[in-house]
Amino acid sequence: MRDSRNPFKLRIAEKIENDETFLRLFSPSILDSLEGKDIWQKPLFISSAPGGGKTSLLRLLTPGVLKTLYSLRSREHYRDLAQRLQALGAIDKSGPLVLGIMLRGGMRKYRRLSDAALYGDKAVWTFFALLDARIMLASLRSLTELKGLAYPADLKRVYFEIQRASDWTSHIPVPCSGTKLYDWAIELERKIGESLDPFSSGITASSIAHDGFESLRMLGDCAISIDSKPAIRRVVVLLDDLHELSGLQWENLRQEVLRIRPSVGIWLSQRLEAFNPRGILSETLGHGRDYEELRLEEFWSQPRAKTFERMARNVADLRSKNSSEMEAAEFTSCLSDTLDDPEWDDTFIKAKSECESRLKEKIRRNNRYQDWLADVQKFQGTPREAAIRWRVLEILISREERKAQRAFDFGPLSVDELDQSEESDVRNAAEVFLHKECDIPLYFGMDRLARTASYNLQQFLWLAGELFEATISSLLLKRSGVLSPVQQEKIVKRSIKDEWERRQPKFDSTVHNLISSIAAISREATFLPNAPYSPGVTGIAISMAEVQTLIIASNEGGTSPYRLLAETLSLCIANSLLEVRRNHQCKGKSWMIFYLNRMICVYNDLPLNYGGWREQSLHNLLQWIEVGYQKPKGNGTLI
Amino acid sequence: MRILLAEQLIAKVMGWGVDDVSRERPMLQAMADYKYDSYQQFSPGMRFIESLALWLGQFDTDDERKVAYDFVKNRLLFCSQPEMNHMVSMTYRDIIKPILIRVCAEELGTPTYQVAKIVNSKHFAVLQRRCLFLGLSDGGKIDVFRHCNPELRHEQIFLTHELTQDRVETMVEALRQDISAITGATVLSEEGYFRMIFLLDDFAGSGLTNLRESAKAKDYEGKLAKFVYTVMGSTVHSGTDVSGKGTPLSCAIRRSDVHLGIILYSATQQALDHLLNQLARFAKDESFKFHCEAVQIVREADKVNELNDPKFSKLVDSYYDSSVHDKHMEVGGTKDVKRGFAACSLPLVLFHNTPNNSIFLLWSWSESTIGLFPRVTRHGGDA
Repeated sequence: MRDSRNPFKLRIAEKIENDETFLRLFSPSILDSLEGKDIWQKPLFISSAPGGGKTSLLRLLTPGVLKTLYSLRSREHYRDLAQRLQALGAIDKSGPLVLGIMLRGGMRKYRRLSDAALYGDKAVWTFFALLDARIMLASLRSLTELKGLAYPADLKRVYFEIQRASDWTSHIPVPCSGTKLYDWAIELERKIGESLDPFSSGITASSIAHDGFESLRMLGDCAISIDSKPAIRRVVVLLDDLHELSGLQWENLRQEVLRIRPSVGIWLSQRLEAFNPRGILSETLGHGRDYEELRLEEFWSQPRAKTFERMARNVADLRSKNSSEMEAAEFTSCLSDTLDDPEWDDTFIKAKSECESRLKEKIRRNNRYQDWLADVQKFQGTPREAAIRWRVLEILISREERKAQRAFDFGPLSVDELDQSEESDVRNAAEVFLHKECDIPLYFGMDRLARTASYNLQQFLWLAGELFEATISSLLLKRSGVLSPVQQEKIVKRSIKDEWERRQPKFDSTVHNLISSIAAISREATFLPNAPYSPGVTGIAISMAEVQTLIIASNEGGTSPYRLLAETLSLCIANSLLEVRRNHQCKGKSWMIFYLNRMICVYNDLPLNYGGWREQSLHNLLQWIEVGYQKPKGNGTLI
Repeated sequence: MRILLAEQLIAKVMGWGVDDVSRERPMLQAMADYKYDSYQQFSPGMRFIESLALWLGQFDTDDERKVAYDFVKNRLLFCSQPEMNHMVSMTYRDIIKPILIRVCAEELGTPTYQVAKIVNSKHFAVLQRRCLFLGLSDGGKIDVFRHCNPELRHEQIFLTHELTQDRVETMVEALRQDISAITGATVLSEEGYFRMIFLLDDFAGSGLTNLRESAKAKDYEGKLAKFVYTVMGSTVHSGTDVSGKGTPLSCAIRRSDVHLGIILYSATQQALDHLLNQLARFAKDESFKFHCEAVQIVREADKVNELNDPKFSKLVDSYYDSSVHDKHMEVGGTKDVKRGFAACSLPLVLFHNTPNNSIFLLWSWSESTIGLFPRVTRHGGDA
């Protein structure tokens, strides 16, 4: 089924209504993030910035999707995904094994129940009561969908039997039929609805509130049968968009889930949100014994053989194959990833010549680097390789100049010392310098496109979509469908510029000041002649001790300036302007690193690599958010 | 495949590069899918993008093509079928019912703001039942109107005012029974009549088609005039053509107790002003009460003129086929219809047919000038 010109524009899992389309565009690699986690017996907390892939993960376990995948499992396109789900225990040869119960319609509507004026101290329990009713209804609906029954007509064939004895009492009327459970849930929902208008009904919060989140325990303690036969092996409750709850509701839900320790799976997904600095800045919630946690961007950023790049490539190829205008071509093949074309020879030759002239002038009366110079002059390679080699030499000589001044060591350097110094980081820095000095493209090719996404699938699809549009436009005009590096970089930079300018008005001055300051200091540090942080600086770091200061300030409220800083940082993280790396060990201390979103790196001509960052004090950051970055006054230090 | 060819043609005609195609194509396809492909008067197999390619190709220079393309992108107004249906669905509740509330309030001596009291009264229920909703033309969308208003009875909604005797008798009998059920009292045969007649139509560009003064003193022409003369009867003139006694529907109304409502789903401000002006005099002459409303008004600022779009206005003046100008067009009072009938200068297309009040370049059917949304003229006239 091919009816989309640009399938990259189908970005949001909720908007892809057709289950087969959803599966066709779903990359199995995302399931790598669940490896090693106990996803059926322990609560799983999933978080990411918007577009990270949370809803797609949850939707995968819903009845419609599982049934569709089961029916298509033997088709080549779906085999890998079916096998992975089989390995996870979600399906087997007989069919779906999991009853995925997903609440639809968002969580925002539950916030009304946090109105203390209406509910007083019963607010949270009323919230749990409504959640119970909705989960019960959703479970009945999901069960009938999974088993091909009519809803609600066939609910009389369903029975909930208590399997595990327990000493808790429940408002849920088990053991009972599906019909009775349905009636109970509908009635409870109705009462809660009426209680929202206390002037016209006699229903009070007291009469409807529960003592806790009972549906989870009930689903764990009951066996579900249809026509007296066991119906399902596993149950998992899928709660999405929990960031839309009020702070108190979310905190109570989380604590209740951990307290209950349900024997059903429960996946809770939330977006990293602005008004929860403690949640964003704090250590992980902890995991292992009681629950599992999955922060998607942090998962993708682990050095696991370029997992995200692999997944992005897979996603891109899947999408392009589903375009009505690409004849089974892989998107990767449409992005040229080399500058070794003859059209670039003159540029690289010129760059190399200029570099060579600079160096020869610089070291004219200094024989310390003669061997290095001779070695590089002998180099036989493409013009591009030669230009990079010379630029590397320039960086290394600059480094040696600084070292020599400090150590008073002015003896000649050997070729062996040159070879030892030529690390990949310095080569990458040389490319970044050449990009800036000679306008040579840097942001092209599939791998770099994936890196520009900052481990966010939605951001990747957006940029890839722009490139894909250019590819099919080129084909329409009967030109080559392969985009050159120049074309790719132009499109990516223009798209990012437009998007950044579109988003900027939504942020206040503190956010602007912080981001522009980090970008400014990153540029300054990156383009120092000796490239001390090769390939470049793209972020800042504060110590974990200072993070605690921010968390305390955030909890205490009041007018502490650190509170504003904490909120600004949280806002930047929640809106994917900054990426966080926790507990990074360096110089005997633990650091929290805030990297610029790679999109902002492109906007500022910074490299896409991670690793280069500058430590900052809270005092500096406070100054930045108030007045922006101030260039240092000649003492050589960066503030 | 044909769409691809059309897109290639547009790219060639406009001289687009890859960047231009990347930018424009998603928008063109989206608009075509969303609205423009649904235009019902394209020739078989024709779709919007192909029509656009051919339309743009007729202009002589790149600048002209760019101006024309910008017009389509930024100024064209297209009323789709769902949008028209939406306006129809709003008509009774948002336009007609408030009229009934005002009339009822006046008759009851109740302030108009006591809406619940008025609407819950038997007087209102009877008044509502004494309404008759008739299509003034094919554009009345009576089927949609009927489905959107289940509170109205089938026997009070009809496609046209030209009803048979049997039909009229049936609807009057149903009316009497319903009023009897509302009031709890027997309704005499002479009390079985409609008081509020609403004539529904889809669009008015100038209003001249509906009502205009003729050369004869105190005489009027147009669809409304014809209705008043033949169904209601003239109080000013005499003769069988204006007696109101020749049509079966005449028996279902009382000349001394009738309100006439003209409800347009969309209209220009120019048409509305004209109708209100003409109706004020006509109704005074003929002694009847009237109401005239439009659900959606096309603003004066939307029209094409030298002030708001000088470059496109120049194109409008340059590309024309005078053979389309006939006696029906002359009714508009202009020597040509470059800017549409009665020089309405509208950039408007309706999904079922482009009104001739729109600029000629939009609706042309001639061979020498290509219309973007060619119009189909009605047999016997196009005014």
